[in-house]
Amino acid sequence: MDCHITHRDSHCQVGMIGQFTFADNVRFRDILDSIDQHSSKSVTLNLKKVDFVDSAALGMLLLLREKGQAEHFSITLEGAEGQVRRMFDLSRFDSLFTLVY
Amino acid sequence: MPPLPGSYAAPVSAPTGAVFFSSEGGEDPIRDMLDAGHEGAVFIEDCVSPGIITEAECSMTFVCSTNTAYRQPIARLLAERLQAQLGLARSTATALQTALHEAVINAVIHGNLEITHPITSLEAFDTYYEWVHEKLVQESYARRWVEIHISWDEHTVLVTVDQEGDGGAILTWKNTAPAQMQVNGQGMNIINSCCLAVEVAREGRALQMLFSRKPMLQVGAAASADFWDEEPQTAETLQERPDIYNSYILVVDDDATSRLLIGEILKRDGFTRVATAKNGKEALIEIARQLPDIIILDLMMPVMDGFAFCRKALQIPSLRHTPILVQTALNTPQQRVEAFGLGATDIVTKPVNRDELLARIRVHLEHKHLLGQLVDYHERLERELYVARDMQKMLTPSESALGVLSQQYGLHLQAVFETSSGIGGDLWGVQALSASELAFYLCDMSGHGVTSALNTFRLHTLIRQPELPARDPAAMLSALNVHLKQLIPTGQFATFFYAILDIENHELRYATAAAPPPLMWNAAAQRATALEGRGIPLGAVAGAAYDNYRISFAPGDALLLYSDALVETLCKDGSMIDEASIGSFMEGQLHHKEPQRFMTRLLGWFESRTAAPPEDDLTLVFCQRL
Repeated sequence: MDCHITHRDSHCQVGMIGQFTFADNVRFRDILDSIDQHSSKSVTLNLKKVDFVDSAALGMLLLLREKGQAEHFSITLEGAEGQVRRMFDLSRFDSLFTLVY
Repeated sequence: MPPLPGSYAAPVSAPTGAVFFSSEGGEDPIRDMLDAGHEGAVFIEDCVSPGIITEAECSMTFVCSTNTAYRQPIARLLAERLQAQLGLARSTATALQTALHEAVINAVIHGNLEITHPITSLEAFDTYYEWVHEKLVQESYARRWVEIHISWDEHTVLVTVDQEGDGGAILTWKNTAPAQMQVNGQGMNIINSCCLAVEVAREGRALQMLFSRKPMLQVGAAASADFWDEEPQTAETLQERPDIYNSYILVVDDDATSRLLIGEILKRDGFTRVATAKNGKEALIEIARQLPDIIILDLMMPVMDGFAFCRKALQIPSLRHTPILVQTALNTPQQRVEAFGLGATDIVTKPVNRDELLARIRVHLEHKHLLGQLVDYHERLERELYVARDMQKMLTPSESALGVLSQQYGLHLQAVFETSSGIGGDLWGVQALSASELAFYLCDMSGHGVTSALNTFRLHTLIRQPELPARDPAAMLSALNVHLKQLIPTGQFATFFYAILDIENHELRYATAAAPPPLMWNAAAQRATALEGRGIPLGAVAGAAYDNYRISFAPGDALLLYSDALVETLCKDGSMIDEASIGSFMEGQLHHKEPQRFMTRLLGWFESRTAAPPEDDLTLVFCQRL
């Protein structure tokens, strides 16, 4: 997937495009590094343009969540649609993340 | 790369730009293909064509190297191809792509690259992917093949993902509890929710997934196609699915280890509200504090054992809908029968099997939730029906209106209007036509409930139309018939009685459309007789004609109109009230000259003779000239 990271004040906005899968471990690492560099207090991942996620992507999001809990930044997942939304439902992400549609 | 000559036939339909491979026809055609440098996929400009090696009418086999499977979107390509070829619904193709994708990653990473340990932290995450890439550059790993075989029939598609490597990881995943929030191990859960069925073959190396071609409602495999339905689920529909994980579960067991174990099983599955009790007595205390949604009960306990608890629970009305799941190590048929007889909903054996326990709990909780919804719906419907009934009551003349008319025309007018099921199909009314003429009518729409009630509203509006010949009963019925024939559906009709009381001329002019013959009390003769008259029910036949009848109606005379319920309700002694007995009753009552008591006495007489409230709407109208 492609991603576009912007920072404003201490908010990190990540726009993702395409398929978010196991093959995106490097991109994901980039996102984590960017959060570290800017000491973000809140992170929003916009998934509106993501049309597919797999179990590895779900795992990465869970790792992000653990990091958020350890380093005290909030995470919002916004715009999940279609297959992405189904996967989130299946894994009960509504009980783990703030989901915005 | 040009295709090699060999034993595989060229496929029938080729997508644009595809290159198909065939081998030399040796012992291991796949090895040959990979040895010859064919990776199983080729870049042609920007599009990747699948390396399909065989394609028959109802099946397709795709082979590629681990490297290709890792780097190319194989699952997407195959799913898209299948969607086009088989005309699959988008939701089916999405489910297929998702499951296939998971199966392929499994085959590649855990099977062929033999990386099986989970990612436990962010640090481990980076290391994990370093290992993956380290192995991918080693030819011995990268060249291992992945084979995807797809076959289909009219209803299903079978996809088998096979690999060269060890594949032990699939078996591990199969045992993962669904709601476990692990970073790894989601794959099998996802696959399960996409397919009708999943099988593991070749000692764990091959994963067989069966998909439905059409979206079907399925139980078990988490309603696969329904879940992946094209229509996005709105927040409302998400809430409608029973969230059983909010249920409050009470575990009753004297053994501390057992309580702990079951509690753990439940919590890991996602149930957050779990309470425990050591014995039946403590359980009752807990229940008094908060009513559980389900009780898991050990049968053998020292203080108030399970059987005693069940006996007690039977007597508690609020536990009526609470499923009791009984656990026992002793499991003879007699004990099962006894447990069920005492109100146990289901039985699980001890030692507890986690999957079975969870499966049974889910079934009972979902069932209870659905039952609750049904009860709520029913209650809401009843409330609405009673509101509708009040509206209907307003269509009939009020007591005060009757009082005014009584005064004006020198009458005693009284009526009873009881519907059988909230709303009914009866309607009666009274209309002043002139200073000396008063019209009465009683109508009975066929059927019960909502449809006949709606017709009464129509009739009520209709009968007030000024252009209707209100002063001529027979003409009135004809005119009403014309309208009702159009309004009422075929097969339904209405019985109708219409009478005009003419005070000045001391007579009653009337016409009837198959209504129960009203009773007339003749004060001079001290006799009650049924009014004669015939006519076809309204709404049955176009162009029906009616006759006018006349009878004298002097001061002291009385008229009783009634609906079917009076004469069609079964009495306690097995008989039915008929006109003759109503007539006798009238005679018995009215020569006492107390008209105001008549209606009460009539109702009392009716209720004393009948076994139960009438199944039909009961309407009574009594009018006596003073």
